[in-house]
Amino acid sequence: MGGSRFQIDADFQSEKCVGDTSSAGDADRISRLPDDILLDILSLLSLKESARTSVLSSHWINLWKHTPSLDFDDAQASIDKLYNQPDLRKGERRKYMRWVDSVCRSHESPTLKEFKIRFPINRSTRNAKSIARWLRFALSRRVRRLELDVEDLYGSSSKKCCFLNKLLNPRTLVDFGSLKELMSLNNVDVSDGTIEFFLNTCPLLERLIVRFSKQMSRLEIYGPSLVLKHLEIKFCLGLESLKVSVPSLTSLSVTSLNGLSLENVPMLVDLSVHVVDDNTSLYRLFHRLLSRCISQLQTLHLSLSNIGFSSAELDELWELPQMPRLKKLVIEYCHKWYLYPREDRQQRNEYAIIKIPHRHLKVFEFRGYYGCSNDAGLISYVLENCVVLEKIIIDHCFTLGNSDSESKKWKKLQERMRNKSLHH
Amino acid sequence: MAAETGTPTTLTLKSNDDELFSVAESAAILSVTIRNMVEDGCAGGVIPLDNVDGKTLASVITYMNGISAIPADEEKKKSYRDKFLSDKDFETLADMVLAANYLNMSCLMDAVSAKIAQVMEKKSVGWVRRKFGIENDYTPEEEAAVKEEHKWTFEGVETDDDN
Repeated sequence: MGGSRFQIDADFQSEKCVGDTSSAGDADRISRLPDDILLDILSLLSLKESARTSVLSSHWINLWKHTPSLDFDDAQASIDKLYNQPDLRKGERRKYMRWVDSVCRSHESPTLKEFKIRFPINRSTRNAKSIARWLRFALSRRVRRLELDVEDLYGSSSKKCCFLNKLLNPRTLVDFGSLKELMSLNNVDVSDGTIEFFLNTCPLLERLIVRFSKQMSRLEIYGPSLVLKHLEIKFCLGLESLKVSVPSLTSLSVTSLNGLSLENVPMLVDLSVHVVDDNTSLYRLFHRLLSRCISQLQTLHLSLSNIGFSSAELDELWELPQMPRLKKLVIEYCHKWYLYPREDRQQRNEYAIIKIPHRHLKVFEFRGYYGCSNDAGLISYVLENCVVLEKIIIDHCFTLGNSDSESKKWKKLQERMRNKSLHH
Repeated sequence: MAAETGTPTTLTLKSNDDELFSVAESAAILSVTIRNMVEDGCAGGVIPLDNVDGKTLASVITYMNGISAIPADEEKKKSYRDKFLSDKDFETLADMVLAANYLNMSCLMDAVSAKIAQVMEKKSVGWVRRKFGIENDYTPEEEAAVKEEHKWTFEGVETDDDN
């Protein structure tokens, strides 16, 4: 077991010298690989699996403590199973928190590539202290990617999770400057001011993701010196306006919003909008709010969460403005299709003129294909009019073969797609 | 791998057991170690690679030629790597990862590491020990203590037969 640069517990080492007389043998090739290579291998395993290697032999006992990635993500499933058993959930939660604490205590890597927490933690003061402690640990190890998701679906969520206040307290302020690759906050209540603070203190951050924060109202993301490339602000109830002016931004993902304003985004090519119908109309979204950047887009992803489109709104969807550079268009219906009878979707006027921009469109993806004539009509149009189309992906959300008419329609569509591919 | 001489874009590599290999420079510079030598002008004669034996070097050169023949298409490159490594036993993989480390070829290193990790994944401690011939040098008491300290790593493990 020669050559390890890691400390092995003195107890084990001295006992081993006395107790173990069998030859090391040439067979144990893997343990003789350089530690750097073994760490590369361990980094590819889950945290639990990589730490389990400590039991293999004394050579491995401390290796896992030097892996650069801490992903505390594999406990979610166990707590999901306990959704109606609050006492057991409480036990699982305590166990999770002890687990994170003990790993943070024993981990020895001076720098971290990734630190990821995903667990429903209820928002008591004590838990806030724990989360603040973990983040302080991760930031003290110069973490580059930080992901935090502390949703508590079943517990009381009236209390605010105030761990960020602890971190942002000027007296105990920690340095966020190491965050370069990613900061992702899910179900963490961050205010406008906090986000602006983060951007000021993480000048090298490339990706920022905030979902399900209830405390934001008027957010402004701007700064000529930011290097932000990807920004996602989604499902933040209470957010009234979002102003984005970041010259380096290439990819943006937002929920539709009346107060959306994109100003200086010359590099933006990839836009994803989750359209919520009670916020703003598609027409206003594309012809007013996004009009400034629409002509430069190469990828557009529209998620439509509502099911009750009026005919007028559907027509709006077919009348997207011209997007001369668009290469990929994704339309996704995110409805809970099993909750609604199929007839609920309104019939689109078959004769409406669809103005999908089509000169450069190579990939068309339709998720949540529902099998009604609206859907089939859209695909027919794309097949007819997108002259350089290379790929069409249809992800249907019904079981094929349920009824004869559905499978006939589907077969017909497949037939047309095959014919289309023969032409090219 | 027959040696050919003459063309300026061909390099000659020498393994630590004195086998000579010729390889196109464009393929060989996948190795940052070799690329640096070429850039420094030290690649004129024979390039000695003291940490790589002939058998491994032949295999690495096959990989260099194969992967550099694929145009910039990450999916195709990945499927080539998967196929290339699919029939290699652990001894060969270990030689290869050491060679890739020495030659500074990150794409090959990552692929071999992933392959080894894949073998270890979701296996019991006992299985991994047997598969890789890892000698358990713990006394039963020590092993019990290490297991106790890392109890959380055994939660949810199905293969409990012989760990």
